[in-house]
Amino acid sequence: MSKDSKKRSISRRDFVRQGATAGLSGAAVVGLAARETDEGGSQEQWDLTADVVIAGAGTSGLSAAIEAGDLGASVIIVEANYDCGGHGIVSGGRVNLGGGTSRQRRQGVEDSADAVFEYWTRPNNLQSRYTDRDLTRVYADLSAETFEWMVENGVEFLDEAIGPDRRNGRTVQWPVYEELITSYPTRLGSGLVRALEKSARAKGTEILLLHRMTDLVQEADSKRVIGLVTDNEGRMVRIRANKGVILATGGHTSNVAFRRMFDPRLTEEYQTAGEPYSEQTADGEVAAMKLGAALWGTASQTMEAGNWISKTAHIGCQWGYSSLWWQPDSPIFDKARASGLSNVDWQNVILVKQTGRRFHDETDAGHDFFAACLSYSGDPIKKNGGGPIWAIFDADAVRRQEWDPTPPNVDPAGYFFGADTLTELAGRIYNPNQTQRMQGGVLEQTLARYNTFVDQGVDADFGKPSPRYKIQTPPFYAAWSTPILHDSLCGLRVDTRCRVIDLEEEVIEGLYCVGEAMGGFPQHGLGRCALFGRVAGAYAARSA
Amino acid sequence: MRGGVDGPRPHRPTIELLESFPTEAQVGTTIDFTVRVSCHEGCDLGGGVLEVVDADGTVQTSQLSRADVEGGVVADLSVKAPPRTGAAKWAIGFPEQEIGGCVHEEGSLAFTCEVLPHTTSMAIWGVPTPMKGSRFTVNVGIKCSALCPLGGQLVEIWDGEGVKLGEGRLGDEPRPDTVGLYEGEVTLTAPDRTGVFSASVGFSPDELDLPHVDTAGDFTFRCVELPEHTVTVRVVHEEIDAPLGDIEVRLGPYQAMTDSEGVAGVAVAKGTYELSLWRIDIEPVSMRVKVTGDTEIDVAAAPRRIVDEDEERMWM
Ligand SMILES: Cc1cc2nc3c(=O)[nH]c(=O)nc-3n(C[C@H](O)[C@H](O)[C@H](O)COP(=O)(O)OP(=O)(O)OC[C@H]3O[C@@H](n4cnc5c(N)ncnc54)[C@H](O)[C@@H]3O)c2cc1C
Ligand SMILES: [Zn+2]
Ligand SMILES: [Zn+2]
Repeated sequence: MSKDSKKRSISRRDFVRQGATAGLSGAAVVGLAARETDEGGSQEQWDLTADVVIAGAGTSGLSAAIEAGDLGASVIIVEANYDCGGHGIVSGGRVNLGGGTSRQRRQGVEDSADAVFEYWTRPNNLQSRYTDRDLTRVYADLSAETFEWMVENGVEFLDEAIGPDRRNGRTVQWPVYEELITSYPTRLGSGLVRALEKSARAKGTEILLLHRMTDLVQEADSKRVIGLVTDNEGRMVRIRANKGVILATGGHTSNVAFRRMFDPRLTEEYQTAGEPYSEQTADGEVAAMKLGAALWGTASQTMEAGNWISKTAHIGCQWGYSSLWWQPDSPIFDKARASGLSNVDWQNVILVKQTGRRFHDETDAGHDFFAACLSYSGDPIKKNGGGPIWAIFDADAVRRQEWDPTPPNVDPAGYFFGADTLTELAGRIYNPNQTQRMQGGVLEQTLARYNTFVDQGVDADFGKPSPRYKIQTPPFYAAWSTPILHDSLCGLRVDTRCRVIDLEEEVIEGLYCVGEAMGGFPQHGLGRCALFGRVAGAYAARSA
Repeated sequence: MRGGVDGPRPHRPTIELLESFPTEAQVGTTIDFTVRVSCHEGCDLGGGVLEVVDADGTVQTSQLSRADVEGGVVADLSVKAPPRTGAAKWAIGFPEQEIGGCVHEEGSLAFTCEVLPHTTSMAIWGVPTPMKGSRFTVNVGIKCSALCPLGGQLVEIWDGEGVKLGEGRLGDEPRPDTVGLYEGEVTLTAPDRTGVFSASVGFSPDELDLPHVDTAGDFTFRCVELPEHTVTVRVVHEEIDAPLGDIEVRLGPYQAMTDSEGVAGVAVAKGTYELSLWRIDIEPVSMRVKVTGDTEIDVAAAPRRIVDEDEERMWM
């Protein structure tokens, strides 16, 4: 705490003098040597300047850039990663935008902004129960228009209106194979973000890759946010924003300390979907909270619904999120390391905690299942979190599943093990999150008991429906099957212009937040991220 | 070099282990370790000789070969844990020797380790669902922690009351796809009544060269009524009416696989059963069936739906 306040007081002192030069001239991006002199004569250095400076070149940041550029503002995006796209580029590309789009009309679907509003404020549905209705109204009113806007900016859609509310439609995968991060089975979201990136660049947005925003810069007197500081591979680059800074950093799920504010159970063993391509570091939230920003809509983060946690669909690899199936042709496969064993029939495996004990019906995938996974593992030192979950199976399961349990399908570096006996298997399991050794005797007992349930046709411990197969034939396997986290469903408090609000309910001037880093409208994904990105881009560009 | 009435004094070497020697090892296994010897006066001891002496007095000689980054010279050594359990002792000796024109005094370092027997572990598989009173076999596999050949060793099976049900010997070759798991078959007679029964398997090796820890395991099996009727199940693709082969058909504890015509004949006793079908790429099917005589059942199966969770969860 004291470290933070020190940092802040330094930046406050540094920028006291900046007040006098507020409202700097040009919209043009100025070169690295640009210096601005305050009235006191001392010099403050900005490396770059633009009207609107955006942190994050994912779905929401690119949308904000296009909108701001269309309104004549100069735009710089700083992006921490080596390439653009964030979670958006590895996403499934199902975009939720309705309210009467041309796509819906072609499909004979009648819809309206009011219907969208009503849908996202239903009290009998957990995902819509806790929404901020002012933000929901914005979403409802701009939903159809944002769809047409995407099309105008080069995003191609399949002609469909799918999902229970028929507001969904998929984008067409980006056609340039070399510009994909992963292509299999289909990562259609590439078609959205690459098109937005192309449009943003064409409209003059400058994207600085490998520039991680580390801090916001505030004017001392007015407290207005006037720029940000980035770290470009060890080099500090300070960027002045004449009109506004937009935080589009993509949420907090990868940040263990941050996510545990909402749920203490979510300790470090839980991986995040979208990694290892892009991380949800909470950098935007943390930077804004240092300036007093409030969080918003946190009930949506802990509701037992929505897409914040899911069962691994690919086991034996570190990141087994269902639709993101890493394949060896990915340019970052050296980081992902394995694809995992897929199409798991949970009758073929049992799930055990790090102790080697079963804990729930393996065929369940609901929140009771997650609660059991996250329950106390018995480790007297690490009491929070449920510890690793391992799928245990045998050679017969491998045959039935038609799996090939060798790399690159599986990751022997801590996420997959094989052995000739269960005792040997237990002894081989290691992983940074396995805080206790699994005892061979315990695993043997677990399997002997489970195999008896197969004989009896009834799982007397956890009610797995008709346990079907004994797990008995060597070799035996243990595959990482710990639930994986996904969406950030709460974030910074914003008003209907996406301006960040502080704990006194005052606007922090010059600071905007969009995408998964924004709280109040916990819809899964792309539609809302692009839509609120546009809102922030427009208001920032138009501000004085 | 300090002179004196008796001529130059010999140099004193320092002997140290670079990593700690293990406190436990299994009989007969090799323990690798590294020793560094350095001279206080800074001589290069390369080419010097070391002796490793075990409890039986056997001496093994090695040369100091590799220069160590932190000074001194190291030798990579290995010793074999003795074939008996208990505390084992070794000593490393640096005999008095002249290196670089100077005499180096002798030095030594002793270390000990607790020697343990090999452990063994077991797998029990191939356990069928026998008919009451019938003969059946189970497979037992045993593996030694140090991969000793276990061919010819005895495994025995007992019931819950300690009555021996059967025994068998392990084969001479490890099971394919395993590293040193020796398997054997044991033939048993199922009890004369239906139900789920448990049994224990024991392995206490003898006549092996090295000491081993025993191991044991439990399993259960379900004994069923003699079949009286045949239920002929014909499985077709729900949409295209084509036969589906290789489908596992179960009627309670009885099962069979469909052939290329999509037909499986399951021999069952009278009774009411859960009929279930399984193949990785079809949606699981399950229904209740009452069997009072030979029966034919046609079932339509649908291809398994691949669920995209993004679609499922976009909405509750
Ligand atoms: C596997 C997967 C499948 C998905 N499928 C769908 C789907 O089908 N439909 C749907 O609607 N949604 C889907 N989503 C969710 C959707 O992709 C995200 O909600 C959306 O992309 C979030 O947009 P964003 O702009 O907030 O964040 P992102 O798109 O993740 O972009 C954030 C960017 O900010 C950068 N960044 C972070 N910190 C800093 C910093 N300090 N400085 C500079 N840059 C920084 C990141 O590197 C990243 O590039 C999916 C997500 C995943 C992972
Ligand atoms: Zn010397
Ligand atoms: Zn042995």
